[in-house]
Amino acid sequence: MTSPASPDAGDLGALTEQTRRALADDPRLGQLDVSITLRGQRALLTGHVVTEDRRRLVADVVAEHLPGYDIDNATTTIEHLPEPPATAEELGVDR
Amino acid sequence: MIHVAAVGDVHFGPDAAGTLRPHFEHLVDRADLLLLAGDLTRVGAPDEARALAEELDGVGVPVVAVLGNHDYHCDKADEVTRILEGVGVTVLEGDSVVVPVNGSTVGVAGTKGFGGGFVGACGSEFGEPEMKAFMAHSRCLADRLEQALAGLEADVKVALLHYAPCADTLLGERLEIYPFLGCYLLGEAVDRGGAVLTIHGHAHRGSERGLTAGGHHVRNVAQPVIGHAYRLFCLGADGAGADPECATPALTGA
Repeated sequence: MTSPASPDAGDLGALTEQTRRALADDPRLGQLDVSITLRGQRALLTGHVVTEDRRRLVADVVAEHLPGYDIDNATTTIEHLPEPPATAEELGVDR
Repeated sequence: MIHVAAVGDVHFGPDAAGTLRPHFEHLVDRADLLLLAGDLTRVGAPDEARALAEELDGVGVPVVAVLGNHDYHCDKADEVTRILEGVGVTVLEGDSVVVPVNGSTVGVAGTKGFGGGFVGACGSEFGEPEMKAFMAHSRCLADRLEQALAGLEADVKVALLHYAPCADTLLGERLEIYPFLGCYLLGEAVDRGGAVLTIHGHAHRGSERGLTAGGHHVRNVAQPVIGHAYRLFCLGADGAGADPECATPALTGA
């Protein structure tokens, strides 16, 4: 019985970059700052996206490019922003 | 006292419609102007700009913006600019605007800026034409920013950028990408031009606070960094302690 060959670091790096590029090139996303970490058969996604729809779409695009990987979508969305800060930061300035 | 609200990197599109507007409803009670530090849209498509314009229409304070790299992606930056200008937004690129505030004036000079890196690890106009063009573009935008600041006649000068003018506010980003996040030339322009505050975005994983080499305030207001619809700054006299004029009205019932 043989276990499947593990991709070497070069293969993983190329796969990661291809997937990152797909997120940037997809006209529905244009997403540059999602990080993809591949460990074993799991892909961890981190970073910020604007809406929940885009968050789901990021996972879909990654899944298309990484068949067989479990997608752990840890991206965060800022669709529901908290109330703006109650106070202003005071900056002393020379005039 | 001058109250400035600022945010960058909203990466807006029709799918986000209605998410910002509620936060701008009381802006007129809290700020004298709103600065937008680029990456206003997802990929620079006109429908994305229109969606943002609807959020900004009638916010009640002057809105001044620069575009970011995302706003150029569809090669329709001029159209994006026109759409925003259509609802009264002033879009700067190498130029400036003066906003009267309570008998005082705040001058804002803006540019998208560009990459290149920071002292000790930056590009130079050397070698291949592509490398020369990369750094020449960065230098050109920094030069225009400095000229715009120098030409401003205002009580307080603020620089509005998308790319970072110092490395301080990139802390948290991977070192390898610093040259794509900003350029020291912008910091030099800010210092020579006399901007007391520089607002930028672009560095989603960066830090909020920094200083130029000349000791002027730099703030990264990329929305993923600030986690709010905007940050508020109160520009006052140097060395002032807590100033009651810097208190802002509560959001509810304001």
